[in-house]
Amino acid sequence: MHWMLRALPLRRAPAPSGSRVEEELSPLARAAIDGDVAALRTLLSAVGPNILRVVRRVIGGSHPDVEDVAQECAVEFVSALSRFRGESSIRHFAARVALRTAMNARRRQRAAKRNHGMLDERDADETAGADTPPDALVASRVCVRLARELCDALPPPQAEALALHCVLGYTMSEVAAICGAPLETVRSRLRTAKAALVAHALADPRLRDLVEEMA
Amino acid sequence: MSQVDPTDLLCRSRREELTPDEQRSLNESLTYSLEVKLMNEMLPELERQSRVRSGDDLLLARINARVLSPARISQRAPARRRGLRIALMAAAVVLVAGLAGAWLGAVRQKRALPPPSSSVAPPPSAKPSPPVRLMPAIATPPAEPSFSPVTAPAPPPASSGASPGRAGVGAPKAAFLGSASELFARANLRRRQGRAREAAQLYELLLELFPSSREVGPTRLALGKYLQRAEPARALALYRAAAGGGGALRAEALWGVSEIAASLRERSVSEQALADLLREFPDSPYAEVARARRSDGAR
Repeated sequence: MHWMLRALPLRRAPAPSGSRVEEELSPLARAAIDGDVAALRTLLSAVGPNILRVVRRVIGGSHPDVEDVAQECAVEFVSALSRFRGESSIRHFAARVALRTAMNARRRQRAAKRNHGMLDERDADETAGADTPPDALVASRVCVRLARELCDALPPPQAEALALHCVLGYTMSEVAAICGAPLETVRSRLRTAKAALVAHALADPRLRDLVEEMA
Repeated sequence: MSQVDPTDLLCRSRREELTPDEQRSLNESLTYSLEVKLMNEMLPELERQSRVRSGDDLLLARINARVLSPARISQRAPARRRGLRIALMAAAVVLVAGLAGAWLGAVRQKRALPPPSSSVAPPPSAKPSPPVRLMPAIATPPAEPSFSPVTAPAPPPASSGASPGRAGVGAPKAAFLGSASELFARANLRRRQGRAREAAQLYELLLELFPSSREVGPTRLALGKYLQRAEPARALALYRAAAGGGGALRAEALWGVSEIAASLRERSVSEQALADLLREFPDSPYAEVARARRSDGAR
């Protein structure tokens, strides 16, 4: 029953202060777009942890290239800033830019490794020790791997929606706001992507126990 | 009333935003929906992988310092100015092409005209040289520079073979005819592709072929980072050399010296590097962490 307990919160979080933070970041973003280096520095310090979080979720927390990819994402964010029109929050904008850059980096690395016959079937995090018993981690890690592999294989709009919802944990309305797409479009993309995820999970022998629990 | 998607509920439950009714609804969907169950397995693991770690503040400070380095910032001209620059360059190209065309036309016209006076005219028996023969003389000079040799220094014959301690460097060295910046870019590309060993070989090659180029400093840092675990003594030497080079990289190099010396239990070297870092770069992103480390050490 541990899977059911995972969905239950252990404590209440403090009241969200996202809108206040956004109010503080919006003028910074405008100043940074106008070429204010100090504002850009502050903005980058504010969104840096978000970028790092996205990178770790996409390529793996223990991946040796986390720093390189995060830097690439930060450079892309700074370059893309001139295209920011305030249609979404600046944090969501940064998350989207970081997600695309990190997914591209992951595809590039996998292609390079495949070309050199070095494709390791395990993610870096799968070798990392943890305080959780290994048996309990297997299903979680396989699921994460399936999602990442699907993000590499699906058409870009579906892959982006799947990554934003299932990997980064944004709700569908947030995904719609981040992508600038209608909610129904996002829902439809996610329906297809999640169906593919379920199909891959059903075909994976390592998830047999998890699937049988449902039967 | 619209049905709330269970995976949406799951995303919100991770942020502890669910009401008791929504939580009950989510728990029910966990018993029958495989996609919700898969996501329920996935999200805690992803949260574990992306949680904040010690050293993240330094990592982010390092990234910000590189992204906001003056060289990179100056490259980021506002879009309007960039457009203006492109327009000016296009206008200059059109102007040069027009002038060249006009000049060429004038030359051809001049050659086609008969000689102006009989005093300089050739004797009647001599045939006038056809204008076509003169064309190559006009056309050839601009084409010549493209055949000029590459400006990179050729490797000396004595060192063309691979040195015993640097296995694998000899082969690319024999084939490489480019500049230090090309070699540096190629090494960085290999590193980004995950081919760390090849990248390290190219960095070694750069240090050997272009020891006084601008790329030597960042190359030492990159190679030092690669060798940090396998050959800490050599990495320490590379970081020290990079620190000796001064410039914008000295702060990062001093930090590297301090870290590796600490791992090699060379306490005095590590402390000296931290002291230099704090004295010379009190506002650098490393300084704050260096202060914290020193105060921890004092306790």
